Amino acid sequence: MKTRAIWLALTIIGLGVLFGLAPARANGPKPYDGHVQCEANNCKIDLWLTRGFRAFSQCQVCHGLDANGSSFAPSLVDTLKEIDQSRFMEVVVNGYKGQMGVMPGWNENPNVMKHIDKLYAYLKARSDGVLPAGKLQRYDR
Amino acid sequence: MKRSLTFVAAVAATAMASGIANANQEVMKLTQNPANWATWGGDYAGTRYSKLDQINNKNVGDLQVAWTFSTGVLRGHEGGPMVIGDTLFVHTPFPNKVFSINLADQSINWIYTPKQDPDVIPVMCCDTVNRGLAYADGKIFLQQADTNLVALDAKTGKKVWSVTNGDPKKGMTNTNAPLVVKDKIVTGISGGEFGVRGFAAAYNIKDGSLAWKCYSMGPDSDMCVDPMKTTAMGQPIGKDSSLKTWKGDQWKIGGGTTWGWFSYDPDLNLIYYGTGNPSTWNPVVRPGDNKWSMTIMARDADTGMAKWFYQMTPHDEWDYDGINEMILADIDVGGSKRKALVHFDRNGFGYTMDRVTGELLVAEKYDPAVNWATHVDMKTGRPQVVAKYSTDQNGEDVNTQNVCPAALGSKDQQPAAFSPRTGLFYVPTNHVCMDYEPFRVEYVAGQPYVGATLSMFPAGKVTGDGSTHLGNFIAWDAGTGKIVWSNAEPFSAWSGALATAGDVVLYGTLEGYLKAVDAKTGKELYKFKTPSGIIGNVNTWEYNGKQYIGVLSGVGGWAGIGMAAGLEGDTEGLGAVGAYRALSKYTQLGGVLTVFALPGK
Ligand code: HEC
Repeated sequence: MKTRAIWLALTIIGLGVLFGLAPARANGPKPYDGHVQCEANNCKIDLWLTRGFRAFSQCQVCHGLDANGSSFAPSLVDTLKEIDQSRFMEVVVNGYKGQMGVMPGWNENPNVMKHIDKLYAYLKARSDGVLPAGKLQRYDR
Repeated sequence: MKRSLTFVAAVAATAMASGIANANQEVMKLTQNPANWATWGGDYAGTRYSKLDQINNKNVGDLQVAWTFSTGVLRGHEGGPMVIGDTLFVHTPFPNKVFSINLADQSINWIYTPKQDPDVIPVMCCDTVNRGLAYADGKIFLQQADTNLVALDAKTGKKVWSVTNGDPKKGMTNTNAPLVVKDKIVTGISGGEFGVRGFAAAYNIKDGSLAWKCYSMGPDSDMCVDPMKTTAMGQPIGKDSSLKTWKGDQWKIGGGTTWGWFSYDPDLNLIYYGTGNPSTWNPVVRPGDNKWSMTIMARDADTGMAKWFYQMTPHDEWDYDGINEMILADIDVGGSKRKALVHFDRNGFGYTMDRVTGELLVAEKYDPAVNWATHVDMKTGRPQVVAKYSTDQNGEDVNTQNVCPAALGSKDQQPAAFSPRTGLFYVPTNHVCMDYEPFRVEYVAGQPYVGATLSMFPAGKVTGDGSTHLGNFIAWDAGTGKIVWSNAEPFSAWSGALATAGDVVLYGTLEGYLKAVDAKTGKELYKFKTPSGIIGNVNTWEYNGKQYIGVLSGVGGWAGIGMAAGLEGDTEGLGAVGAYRALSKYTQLGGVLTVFALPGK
């Protein structure tokens, strides 16, 4: 029982944070607009954005299960605050060798390339604090 | 002479005793002298036990750092130092440097720096680790990331020969420590996330020519099996035992890679190792048992011919690779002494097998959180899968929640230790669960072939006991399948353990502590914070009459990736969970060997 209460408390803290970040969405259109529905601060996504999350499974082994980075690849939550969509497309398609290591190019991988716009939208939503890490609920089923 | 063996003397003495080029005898002799640490497991049985007792449970609290050595390489440092006579050999992650160090003054005898194409880096899932070296016949063996297996002259570091073991363009890489057996060197292959078909291969140590190569799956001829003589659960495996368990040609990209540790029993002339997950992570598209992925294999060292198999997780649905180490120990099981093989699988079960026949003796959970199966049926050897946690039964595009353990297993590659003095096994474990959603992916050669999204979180979220720790260090009775004691660790325990005749057990932690605990009680006796998180193995040796303990720090590997995702309220203020995401608050990258000894003389 006690544990339940703790989890409940944690959930409330979590929702509070989501709520706090919500205004960030107000300025300008977002790549995930129309694919996220938040009710009582609980955000659900549609199939389109789910495909972005799935494409992200190709990135998890390096950028972390939560996109917050690892000991050998940077946090995409942070990176997407700094780079724009065209830079994102460029590095994901072609890859590059940087100071930290090698970012592979994905131009031959249909599991990423077919969904690269959704992948960007998903990561942008993570970066903007709109979506929490991990699996999300769907509103369209 | 015993006390001040020089490298040359140590090797010459053993070579003389054994006649010509019986590398097996030579390595055996070296491992029997506890002054050396001549193979990854300390001995062929992989016990990681040392007869040295100068450092013991009474004085280990006085341990001090004797010397340190920076490898100059960032990234995750797995494996540990190898010591032969007066020389210490240590390796690094990519680019896989090797250093030969003179123990007299810690000066560098030679450095080997391979030129490897950095394009192999992105093909290596989960960091560019390497688990260490092997020695025999005056040569140091290194299994490079780019799959080249090289033999170096132990005295000069000059390359004697090199052989290519696989093709990185097809997703093949190597991270494992090879093992010398007789006149051959045995190695495996990585790339289970790239649709690589796993194999074990043996090369002649003289010139690197291929002696045998046996696949984990496919036609009988590829797998080095005799359908009538090779057994599983006491029965002949029969014709086409693997082909029958795959749809069409899927076995060709079926995984079952062999990136773990190899052990050897010289009396039985059998080598033992495990095979990894079947590809892809989406079980729905690969109906059948997917044999022989997730399998313990016992093979003849001369021919590779399989004596017995045991598949732990038929038709894997959770990425529970079966590659963890096989510890060969003669222990009491049900009142009689057995020639046992003990294996702590990623799937959360601790298995005790008869290593002669492959008979299943004990299979019990070594983390009480394990929930994907209720138990292992001792008649069939099959785990009894709980429907609710079956990602296959729940189906594609369905999120199967709260499965324990997570994909990284109740334990990953970090090898356990066995003390014949206590009869106990000392096991570094993960205490992490996951949500797992399989979905359909297309296979492209050389590209990751994953097919599931996952989130991981502390097991306490599932067990409901309020705990947030992510690892345990346990003592295990493999005769009964029971935990004897268990120490909670805030992070996954991802370092190979060492047990000694001084009744101390040592291991490292992800924050970077080297810890020593009492072998009987688990009581912590000493800890020291090394420069970075430890995912390496603790090894020990003696030089000039003094016992030393050495461990590589250098955080990385899968252990280093943020994995507390998927929690309700996944935010900063989550105590240990928040802290886990920020392992970087405790430690930073960098490879250093730290060597400990008691003060004085
Ligand atoms: C094999 C490991 C690996 C995988 C898999 C991987 N990355 Fe990377 N990525 C890296 C590394 C390493 C860097 C940093 C390179 C550097 O700057 O040194 C990086 C950098 C990046 C950057 C930063 C670019 C910038 O300009 O700062 C983005 C964006 C990125 N990756 C996106 C992705 C996406 C999306 C995926 C999945 C489709 C992915 N990565 C998969 C290793 C990986």
